[in-house]
Amino acid sequence: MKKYSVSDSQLVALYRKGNEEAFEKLVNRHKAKIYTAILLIVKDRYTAEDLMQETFIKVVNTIKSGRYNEEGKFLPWVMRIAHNLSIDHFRKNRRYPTVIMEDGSNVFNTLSFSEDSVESIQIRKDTHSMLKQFIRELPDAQREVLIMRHYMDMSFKEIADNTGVSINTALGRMRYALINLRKMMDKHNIAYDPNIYPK
Amino acid sequence: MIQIFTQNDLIRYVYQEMSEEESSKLAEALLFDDELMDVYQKLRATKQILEAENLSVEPPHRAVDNILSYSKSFDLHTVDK
Repeated sequence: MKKYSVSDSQLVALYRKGNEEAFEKLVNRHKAKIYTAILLIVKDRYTAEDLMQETFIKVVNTIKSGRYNEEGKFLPWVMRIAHNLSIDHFRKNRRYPTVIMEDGSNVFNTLSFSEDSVESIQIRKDTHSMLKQFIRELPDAQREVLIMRHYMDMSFKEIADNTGVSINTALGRMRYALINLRKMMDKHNIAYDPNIYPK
Repeated sequence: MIQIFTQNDLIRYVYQEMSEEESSKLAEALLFDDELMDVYQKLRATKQILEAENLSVEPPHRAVDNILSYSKSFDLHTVDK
């Protein structure tokens, strides 16, 4: 997890006092993570855009009306709002559209890569492309837990509470998600290589 | 005596959702259980790939602009909840 010179809670405190720049910082700090998490659930960029805005409208309303609980952490709280809105939408519109960007390309082609050698970048691009497909192929329940844990930074306890299952079930779903991804990776000869995936 | 751990315990270990005491017991158990060690290594490697891939998509600027505008004009809104 990234460390910032000004913490989220400091920014929230400033925002509560009316500092709009602090809010802008919070939005810019977390927008990609929140948007990606929503997108992985609803699989439609227009819907994801709407839901991200809806999420932040709730955030603004809650903080500005003095109902924000300072005991909790900001990002997990926002992620929970985003997740609940996304799941509500997903359940109402149970479908799997292809995610297309404005220029007609698939959304996952826009995903970023760290700077590296040309060869490593190519290997990672191939892996990346396959991995996104593997995640899409996971059963819904497994994909949901994986997204909540990896992209929403939720603990297994929080995942269990949010999805109405026991912690053991949430852990089991995560385990099967990893095992299934692993099987798919093995089939396509994708292995963990510390030279390609530096810590 | 070596404590018996389940594969779900491995998930808690891999994702660091275990107490220090439990973690050290599991680390010890891994030394004596080849099957558990094998599953652990596979789970950890898969998690590392997922983390390294860092799937991240930037939202459109207009969405961010709308959010910031909403916040700035909040006093003009009626909060419904």
